[in-house]
Amino acid sequence: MKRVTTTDIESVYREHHERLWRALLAYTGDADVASDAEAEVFAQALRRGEALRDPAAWVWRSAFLVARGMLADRRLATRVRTSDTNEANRASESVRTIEANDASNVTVDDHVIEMLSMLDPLSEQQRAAMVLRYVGGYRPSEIATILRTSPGAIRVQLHRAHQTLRKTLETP
Amino acid sequence: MSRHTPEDQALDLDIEHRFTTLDTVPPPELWGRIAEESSRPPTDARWTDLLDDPGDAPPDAQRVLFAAACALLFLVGIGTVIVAVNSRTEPLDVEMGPLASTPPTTAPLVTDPAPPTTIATPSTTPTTPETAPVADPDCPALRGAEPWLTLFEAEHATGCVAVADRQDLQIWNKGTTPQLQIDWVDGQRTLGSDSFFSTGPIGAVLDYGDHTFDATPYAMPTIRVVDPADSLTGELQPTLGEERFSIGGVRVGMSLEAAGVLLGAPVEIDLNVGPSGTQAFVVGDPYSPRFTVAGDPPVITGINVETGPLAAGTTGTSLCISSDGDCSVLAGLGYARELVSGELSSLPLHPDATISVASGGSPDVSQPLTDGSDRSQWVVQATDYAGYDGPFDVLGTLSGLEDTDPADAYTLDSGPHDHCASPPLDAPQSVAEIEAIQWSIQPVGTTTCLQWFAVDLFVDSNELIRAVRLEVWEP
Repeated sequence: MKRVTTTDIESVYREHHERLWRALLAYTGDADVASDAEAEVFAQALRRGEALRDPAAWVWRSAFLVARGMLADRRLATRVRTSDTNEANRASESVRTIEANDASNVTVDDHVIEMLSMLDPLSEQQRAAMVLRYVGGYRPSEIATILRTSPGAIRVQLHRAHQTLRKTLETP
Repeated sequence: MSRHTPEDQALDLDIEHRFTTLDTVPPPELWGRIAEESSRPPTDARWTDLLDDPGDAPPDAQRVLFAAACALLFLVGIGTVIVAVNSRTEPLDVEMGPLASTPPTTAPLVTDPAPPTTIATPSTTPTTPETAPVADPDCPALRGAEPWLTLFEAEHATGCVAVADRQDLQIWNKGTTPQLQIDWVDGQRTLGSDSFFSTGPIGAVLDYGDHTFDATPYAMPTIRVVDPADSLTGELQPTLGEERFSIGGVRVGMSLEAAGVLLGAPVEIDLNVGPSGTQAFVVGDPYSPRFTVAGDPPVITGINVETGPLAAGTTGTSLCISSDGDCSVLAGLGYARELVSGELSSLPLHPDATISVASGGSPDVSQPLTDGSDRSQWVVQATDYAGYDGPFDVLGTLSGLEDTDPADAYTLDSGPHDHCASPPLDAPQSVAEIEAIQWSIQPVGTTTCLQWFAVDLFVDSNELIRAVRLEVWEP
C-alpha cells in the first residue's frame, strides 16, 4: 500500500481546495466556517498521514462533518448570547450571509448572497446534497458516501430540494 | 405524484445556473494556516474525536477495522476448533444464527428443474477429514421449514430427496397437466397445474427411511426421512433454553473451514439467506442449521438463481418447464450476466421492446428500447419521478456505479415478485396481452426499501425481450 505523504495531502489540497471551500461556503453560508472547517480537516489529514488511504474522500466527508459541528456551535452561541428576539434574528441572519469584512477577507457580490439565501428553506441534509451535486460535481452515489447515507435517500433529498427551490423561485 | 413539466426543467436549469455564481468567489489561500495548525497539538479535541469515531471513519479505515474484527473472530474460531478437536466432550461457548427449521427468508427452494445455481462462485466446500454419513449426492437434502418438491416430468432429476422429520413438504404440480395423481399415505391426491399440497411435519407422517409413491403422469422421487441419529447435526439440534444458540462448537463468525472441521462435514454458504451470503449449512444434511461464518462473502458478482411461480401476466406454459429442463434458466442467467456487467453483446431484443421505470404509486414512464448496444437507451428519461431525482440509468443501477448502492450479489428470480413491502406490480402494458416470462434481478442484502430495486425482463415465447423495467420504491 502506498503511504500518504505531506506532498500527497498538499496535492489533494491544490486539486480540491477551490471546489471544497465553495461547497462549504454554500453549505454553511459563512466564509469563516468554510475556512475553519477546511483548515481543521486538512490539518488533521496531515497529522494522520499514512492512516489515510484515500485522503480526498476522507477530506470531503470530514469537512462536511466538521462544518456541521461548527454551525451547531454557532447556533448555540447565538442563542446564549442573545436574549432579545430581534437581536437573535439579526445574529441568525448574519450566519447565513457573508460579511465583506469577515476574517476570511472574502468579498462577494449580490448574486452570491442571493444564491445563498435561496438555499435557506432547505434542510441541512438537502442543502448538503444540493451543494455536493452542483458545487462538488458529485453523483448521488458519491454524495451518499460523503454524507454516510444511501444513494436512494440522496435522490429523495435532491428531489425534495428541487421542489422547494422551484417554489421559492416561482414566488415573486 | 409529481410530473416534471417544461417549466420545472427551466427552473431546475435556473437553480443549477445560480450555483455557478459561486465561481466568482475567490477562496482564501489556506495552506499556510493548515501547515501551521498541523504542527501544533489540536486546539479543539472535539473535531479530532468527531473524526475518530469509527462510524465516521473513511470506508478504507472501516474495512481495516472490519478485517481486524474478522481476523480476531477467525483466530477465536481456530482456537475453538483446536479445543474441540482435542476434547470434543468439553462444552463450548457458542452462538448460532437462525436454524434450519425457521421459516425461510426468501422464496422456498425449488428442487427442479433449476436447483439454486450460482455463477462466478469459487468453490466453498472445505476439505474435511471425513465425509458426512448423510451426505449422498444422489439424494440431495431439502432445506428450509417448508421446502418445495416440484413435479413436472416423467423422470425425476434426482430420484431421491432427503428430508428431516420436522420439515413440512410442499408437493407441487409444476407441469402442464391439469391432473397430477399421487398415491399418498392417506389416499390419492389430485393436483391441478401450479398447485400443491402440504404434507405436514414429515416425521409425523412417515417413518425414518426411504419411501416411494406412485404418481401419474410425473415421477415422484423417493422421500428419504433421515433419522436424526444418522445426521451429523440431528443430535445437535438445540432445545429451547440456554442452549438454544449453541451447536457443536460452531459459533458466530467462525470461518467456513473451521466450522467444517469442527462438524466433520462439508459446509457451504447458503446464497439464499442473508446477510450477504455468510449463512452456511452442512451439505447433504437436512437437519443442518444455518450459521453465520466469518470473512468476506464468497460471491462478489455472482448471481443466484431460484425459480418460483412463473409466467407474469400470462396463463401459458413456463418456458422453464420444458423437455430440456433448465434451458431458459440459462438464458435468464445470460441476460443477467450481460446486464450486470454492462456488456450488451447479444441481448435478444424484440423490435417493439420498451424500457420503463415503475414504482407502483406513480404511472410507469416508458420509452422504446430498440438498440441494446446504445447505452443511452438504457437511461429512462424520467427527470422527476416518484419522489426521486432522475433520470434512471438501468445499467448503472445494476452495476452499482450510478445512484445506487453497489450490490455484492444479485438474485435472479422468475415470476412476479414482491415490490418492496407491497404486492407485485402488474406486468407492463406492452406485455399484458402476450405470453411472457418475467425474470427479475434484485440486489442481495438490502436493508431498506430505499436501497431496494428490481430490474425485470419480460421475455416472450420466442425468447425475445419485450420489456425491461426498473422497479423502485416510492418514498
